[in-house]
Amino acid sequence: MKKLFIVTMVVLLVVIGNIGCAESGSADLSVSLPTVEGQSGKPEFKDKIKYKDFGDSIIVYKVKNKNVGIDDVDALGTQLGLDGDIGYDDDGQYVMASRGEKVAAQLYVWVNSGAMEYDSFVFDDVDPTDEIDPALLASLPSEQEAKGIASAFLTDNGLMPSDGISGIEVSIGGSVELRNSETGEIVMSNPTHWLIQWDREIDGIPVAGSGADLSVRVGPESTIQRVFKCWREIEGSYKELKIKSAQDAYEELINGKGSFYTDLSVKEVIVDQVELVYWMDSVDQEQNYIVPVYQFSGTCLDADGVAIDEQPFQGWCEALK
Amino acid sequence: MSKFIIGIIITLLLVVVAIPRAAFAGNGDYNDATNPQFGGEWTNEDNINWGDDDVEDMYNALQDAGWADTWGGSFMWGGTHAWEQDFKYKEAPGGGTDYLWIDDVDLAWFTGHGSNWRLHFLNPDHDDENLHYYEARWGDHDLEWIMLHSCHVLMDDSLDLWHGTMMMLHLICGSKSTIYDKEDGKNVAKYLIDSDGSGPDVAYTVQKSWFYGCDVHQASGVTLRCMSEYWLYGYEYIWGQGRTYADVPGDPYYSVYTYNCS
Repeated sequence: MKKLFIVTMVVLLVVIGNIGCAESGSADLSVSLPTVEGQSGKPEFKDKIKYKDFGDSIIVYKVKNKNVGIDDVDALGTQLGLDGDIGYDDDGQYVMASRGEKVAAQLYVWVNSGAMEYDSFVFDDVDPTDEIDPALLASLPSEQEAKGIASAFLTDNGLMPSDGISGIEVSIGGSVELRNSETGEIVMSNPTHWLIQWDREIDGIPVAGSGADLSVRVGPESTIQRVFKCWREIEGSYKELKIKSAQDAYEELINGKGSFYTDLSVKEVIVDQVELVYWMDSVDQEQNYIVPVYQFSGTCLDADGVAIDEQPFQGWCEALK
Repeated sequence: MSKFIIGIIITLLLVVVAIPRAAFAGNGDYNDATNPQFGGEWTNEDNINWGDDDVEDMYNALQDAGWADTWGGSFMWGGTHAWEQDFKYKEAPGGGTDYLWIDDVDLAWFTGHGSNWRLHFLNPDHDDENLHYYEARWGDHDLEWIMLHSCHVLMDDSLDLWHGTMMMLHLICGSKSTIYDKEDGKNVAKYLIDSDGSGPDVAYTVQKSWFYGCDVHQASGVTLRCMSEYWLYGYEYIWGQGRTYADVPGDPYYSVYTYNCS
């Protein structure tokens, strides 16, 4: 009888323990904040932030992991006009290509995130006898045309998200310059393509991180050069959890608990903005939860107090308490 | 007898492992198309974690594609075994040995701290911690392409300075902005190489491989660059993957390709 009682208690304890794990212990809500490859200085920080009230809690969402398979890749590739074999590598990435004599297109799909990349390009598209880089002479469609071409490509191929879009930005995605190192002169320059990017938000909160990417690059003759989409779908809310204040996050940031980088030439940083964002991990990472991060921005100053335009300040700190 | 042989093998292995740096690299054959070589160095100092992966991933991918292994002239050095003098030319102050290392391979990779005027190394003894732009003369021995996974090396005000390092070097790939510590070597290698010459993937040019490979992980705000001594080099592939163009003597003119990550 005594033995039976002990066995029953042990079983009950194990069951209760497992329930506890499933409810809270197993959820990994940490994020990988960026680190950079430059020697970081130890600048003085000035807090010029006009703090907004971000509330004291936020909903953490569960990601709908899609289990991308070869059939999904085949369907998407076929939709994009590819007809080659499908390969798979150990890093969890499918690849499918279509190669003609002059043109080729290639599709990558990442299993862990469902992200996709589509590239198209022309083989041997230059004449070695030319005296000048043809990219210096090529002309792009207008900004409005490029935006329309990019949107139509996404829509026609079923790649346009049905919700969550908060804005579209169109910018020059790349350029080519011919320079003279003796005179320091830029002899010629030309943009190489437009970059059209769609911003995302969840519950009105912007989405950031290297895994927050929906973009199309449109080149000369209105060609789609590259499409990149990492748009993790939401399965539903996980929990509403407490967040620290932006002021507390700022203190953590300047005391080394967050992530930021300033070059050795930076002597002072003026931080003037903070946003609460939802963070998206890299495309090859399996991400189960969408968690908030405070994203700080501002200006870096050199020893003479002059703003260093090429080095805008950005820093991040986890927001969950 | 078998114990004797095992003993010899173990001794040989210990000797190989114990020698921190071999005395040479590359085989000086210059048969680039048939025996191309790769050289990579990384520092993994401070907050950098992916430097060793960058180099090892690139090495493994290229070796699978038929490039030379370490016995055939490719090499990888990391941490305090990554030396500034490996990148420095022979007559430079302090004396360099680039003709045995970085300039004795076809494709080179460096992951570590950088800025507009230098690359930073951990080891102060070979020859010092900073490779200044004026201490590099690349391409006069063998090197065609070098990829510098470091912050701010190719800023606007440093382009002319680094152009001075291009002695028949085809391309310097780098970053104008900060660049994040990510596992980019693996992705760049995937784009550089058509894995089997006919199968599911195709090879990209060196320039596109750098841009697209890094952009997989790098976030919006990162600006990548490639400097090309001659514009045709912006359209060439690594050995064995497509068209590669002959070395031409340098002149004051060079091309700069800029790419904004998304």
